[in-house]
Amino acid sequence: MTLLGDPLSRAPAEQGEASGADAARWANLARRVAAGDASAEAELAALFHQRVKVFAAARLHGSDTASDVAQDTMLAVIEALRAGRLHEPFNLPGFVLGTAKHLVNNHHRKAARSIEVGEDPPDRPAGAAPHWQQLDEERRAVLRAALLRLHPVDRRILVLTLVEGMHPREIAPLVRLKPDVVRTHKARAVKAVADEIARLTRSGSTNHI
Amino acid sequence: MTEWTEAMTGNGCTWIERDEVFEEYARGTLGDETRDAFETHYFACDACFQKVRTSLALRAELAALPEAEPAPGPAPRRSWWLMVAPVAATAVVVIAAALWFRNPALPASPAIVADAPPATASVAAPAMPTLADISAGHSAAPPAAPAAGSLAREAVRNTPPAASALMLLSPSDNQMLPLERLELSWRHVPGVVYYDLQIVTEEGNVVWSGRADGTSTTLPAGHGLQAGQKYFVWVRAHLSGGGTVKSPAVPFRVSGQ
Repeated sequence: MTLLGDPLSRAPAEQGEASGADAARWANLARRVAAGDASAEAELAALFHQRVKVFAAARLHGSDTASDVAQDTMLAVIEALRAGRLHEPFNLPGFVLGTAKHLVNNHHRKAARSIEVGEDPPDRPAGAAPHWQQLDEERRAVLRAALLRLHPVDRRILVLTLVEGMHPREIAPLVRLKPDVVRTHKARAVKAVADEIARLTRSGSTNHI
Repeated sequence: MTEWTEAMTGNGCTWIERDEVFEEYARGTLGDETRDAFETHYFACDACFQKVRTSLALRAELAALPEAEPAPGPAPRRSWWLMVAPVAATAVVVIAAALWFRNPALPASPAIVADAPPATASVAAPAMPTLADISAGHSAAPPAAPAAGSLAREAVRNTPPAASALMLLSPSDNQMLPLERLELSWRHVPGVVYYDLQIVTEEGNVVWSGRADGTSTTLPAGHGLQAGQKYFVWVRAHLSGGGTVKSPAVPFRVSGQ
């Protein structure tokens, strides 16, 4: 079983909106994993590992343990399936998400216990995320290069939006543009970066960011 | 594998266009209820998952960029008189010089030169000798136009104070603040547009953030802080020039029920 791969995961049907056919497929996948089918485990990992990793990275605010939490989640889910502890097999996505939340909360509790009084303050809790350092260097280089190719104003708008959390109407006076124009610049910048990533993905030199 | 996914790749998705949700999620500031609903959704929606992934990666990489990156705006519009002023100023200097050379007894006219806009003088100065150069030693010589170096020094003098100028006044280090009245205040920074504040737990989780126009604020009800806990707070000033100045983080504790 390989959980560390980075397959192009595709979306399962949404929890609560799953059709009967989707529910049947989830139940079937759960049954195959429970039966020890290695290909089913790989399929499960391909579907959910990246989602759990992204979820953990977001919930842990860039903690470098997001990958570990994702790995532990997938292992816990597979163990639970093997042991027949999934009572609603048709709700497999919800079960995976619930397991991930549980492990993230455990991580928070553990971290809180290990904090020493007088430790340096977390100056930039969600700043330069350590988890990002674990991602593929090539993909990171692509993203950075795409950002550096942006017009400085567009890059500044992205920083103010995504890092500083500012609204276009707050950004507007800082870059001497109208709020609507700020929105346009922002959309253009995001699209430029996304296109760059997509182009590289199509060329096969890397995987999805 | 694609058989799993046909239904939820954008069709009927009500989240995908809500950029603010993706941005706030990437920053960790989305409200709990919305965050839970959004996570349940993107666990199933491929389009939203890819957008979340890109948002998180973008945010991480942008945060790693040098903080002092300048914030250039588009070229400011110039008035028509500013565009023609360099030519006019040059003409004034040439005419004045010619008149002076033709009749050295005629005093130079500082009043005429002084009428030129300051920006014009700085533009024209490197190209043309100033009246002061021409009439060196003349008692009525006007002051030379400022050189580029002096303009740069002037700009430095006008630069807002360094980061050390922004500091929290309340709380002080490890001060105990009452839960029912959490007041924050800080030192004013010239040229500020507004301030934003963040309070984080010891683990670095953001529990409250807000903005203020003045130099103090009281946390509103529902701020999320808990008695007996230790937090860190800092304030960041957003300056009119586009830069920001951040105070040191200050640890404090909360007392009360």
